Amino acid sequence: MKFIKELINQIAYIFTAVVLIISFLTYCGVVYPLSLVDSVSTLFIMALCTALIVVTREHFMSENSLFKTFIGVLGCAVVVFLIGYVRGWFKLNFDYVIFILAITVAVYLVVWTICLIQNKRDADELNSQLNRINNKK
Amino acid sequence: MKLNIEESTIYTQTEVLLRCKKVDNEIKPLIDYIKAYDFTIKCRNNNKTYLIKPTEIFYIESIDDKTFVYCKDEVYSCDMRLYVLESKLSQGVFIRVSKSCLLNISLIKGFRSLINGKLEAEMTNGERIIVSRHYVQSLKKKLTEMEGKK
Repeated sequence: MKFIKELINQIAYIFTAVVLIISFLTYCGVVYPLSLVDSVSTLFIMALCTALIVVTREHFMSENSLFKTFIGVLGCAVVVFLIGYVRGWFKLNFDYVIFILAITVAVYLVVWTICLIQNKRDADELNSQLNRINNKK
Repeated sequence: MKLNIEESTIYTQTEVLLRCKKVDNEIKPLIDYIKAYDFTIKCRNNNKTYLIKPTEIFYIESIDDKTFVYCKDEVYSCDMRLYVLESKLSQGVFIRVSKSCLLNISLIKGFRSLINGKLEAEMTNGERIIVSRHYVQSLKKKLTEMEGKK
């Protein structure tokens, strides 16, 4: 149940971040415009796969956070390239690869920042609960 | 709830007598708490065996299928598995905070968020324990329960 909840949260964060970035880039003419259904379905599949990588990694990998980050970014990049290429969203030439990698890292950083903010909020909430218990003693 | 405490030198053993109409969901946690309070854990250190009270334990950790009990200054090994200890101690002040650690909530000084997406609990003896994100909700729930009890 915790896994599913974490997965849904991650999908929501990644999907929102990627939709905002891709919408902006499509508006600027950097990526090929697709139909609304195609864009939403492609982005949702990307968000689902990358969220699965991120959440599964949290469950099964060791505590080494640098290696975990590397695996996370690499996994997300592979998913984005595979799905993007299969759905015909971009060509696999050098410029595009660098560009898509930059977007992947940008989305990863956005989601990481959201998680960091949420983590800070959780710590504050736990501390205030702890203070209330200690004050009642 | 009425609370009667009789203090006298004639008693050689502490006894808790609970009188109620029915053991319902409000009374059951109290019974579990009293049972957990009286529970002691058989631990070893330097070939000596000790009976440790849960209130003296800061945290319990499982490393390579071995269970270690951390008190203020001493570390003891224990034959019981972590999930067995969790089932016996979770009615009290202990809660699982990662796959390998049970923490005594009453000895936590505060929480701090870490850059790697985890939380860190600082104990009153200065030790720092990692709290996995997957256990944050159950930790909040436990603290809310404790707030209600106090």
